[in-house]
Amino acid sequence: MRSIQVLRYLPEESPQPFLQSFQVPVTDSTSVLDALNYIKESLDPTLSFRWSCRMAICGSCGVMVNGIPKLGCKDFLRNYPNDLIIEPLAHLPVERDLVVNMDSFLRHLEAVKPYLIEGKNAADSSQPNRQTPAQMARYQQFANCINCGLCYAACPQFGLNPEFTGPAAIALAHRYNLDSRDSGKAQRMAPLNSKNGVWSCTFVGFCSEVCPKGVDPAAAVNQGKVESAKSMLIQLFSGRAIGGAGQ
Amino acid sequence: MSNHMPKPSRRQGLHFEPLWWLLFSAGGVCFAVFVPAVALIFGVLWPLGIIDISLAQLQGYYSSLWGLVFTGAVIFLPAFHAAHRIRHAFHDFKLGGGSTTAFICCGTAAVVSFVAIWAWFMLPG
Ligand code: SF4
Ligand code: FES
Repeated sequence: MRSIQVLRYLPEESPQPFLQSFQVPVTDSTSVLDALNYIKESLDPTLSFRWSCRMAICGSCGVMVNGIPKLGCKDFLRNYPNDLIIEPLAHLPVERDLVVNMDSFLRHLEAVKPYLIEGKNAADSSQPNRQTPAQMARYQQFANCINCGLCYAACPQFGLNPEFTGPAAIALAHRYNLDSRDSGKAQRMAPLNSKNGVWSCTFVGFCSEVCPKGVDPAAAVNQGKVESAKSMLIQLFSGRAIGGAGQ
Repeated sequence: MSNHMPKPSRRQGLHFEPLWWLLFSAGGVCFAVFVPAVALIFGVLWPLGIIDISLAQLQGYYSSLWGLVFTGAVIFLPAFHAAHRIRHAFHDFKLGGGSTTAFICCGTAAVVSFVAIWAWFMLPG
């Protein structure tokens, strides 16, 4: 048994969040999510948190563990021999206990159109859309994102300005811009070029440190700055956005 | 149908951030590569007498085009790098960081650079 603390927020009981201690059984393989599930099943059924896959695939179990954004299912109690405090993800509004409102995150994802957009680069739709391994390697790393939002909880610029498009959305925009089958770059550059796009990043780099899937969003954002600078220059001199479709 | 829509201005959505960022990036390279060497030579080795530099020779070099390159790599670009950093630090501490801060920071860098370049032009030779 060991003690862990969880930040509770029960708006109908108290307007202020408060820390609550629980005694949970531990083995070497007890994850933070296991501990939360134990609390919910055996100690306090009112505790709210999200989870689904418990194998770092669904991206729903993000929490702050001792102040660092982590996936509850991929982080283990054995990593924290001393104090352990579990809080909701930073920079997002808390609805209840460890459940945060992800709307602004989803809005930013939507804004960059994270899907293949048909156009001159797409094969005719009756044909399979072929891609060589080398073409795939250009974007593959950025395709591993599971939309967990840990990078938004890590990003101080998103904390200061929730209108910042943010690491995961920019990494996904970059992923599709690099895809040889995609023709949507011109549409994606508009949100990326804006002050709330890539230019809000000051290259803190913590997003890439906390990403549980090794996506390196900081690299995507800073490659995005080069692309955005090019795109604005082209627009200034030719009147068209990069990618050719702007009008 | 879109024929009747006014053509958007080619400046629509543009801003100066990429320019500051390019100067910042270039200045960062100079800060990492040239500024430490200059500080070592002129701030440590020369004053300690470990190396000897003749002032006349130095002035000769400096008044050549290399002096202008030196000014660019050691004063102009690092000044804009620092201006950008300081401006974003203000933003991070929630002490502004908007256009007034940008004006003060980049303006200072511009004045410093202008004085350095003016000094080079004023050199005899
Ligand atoms: S980039 Fe990484 S940290 Fe950010 S949402 Fe995607 S998987 Fe999570
Ligand atoms: S429960 Fe799915 S990522 Fe943790």
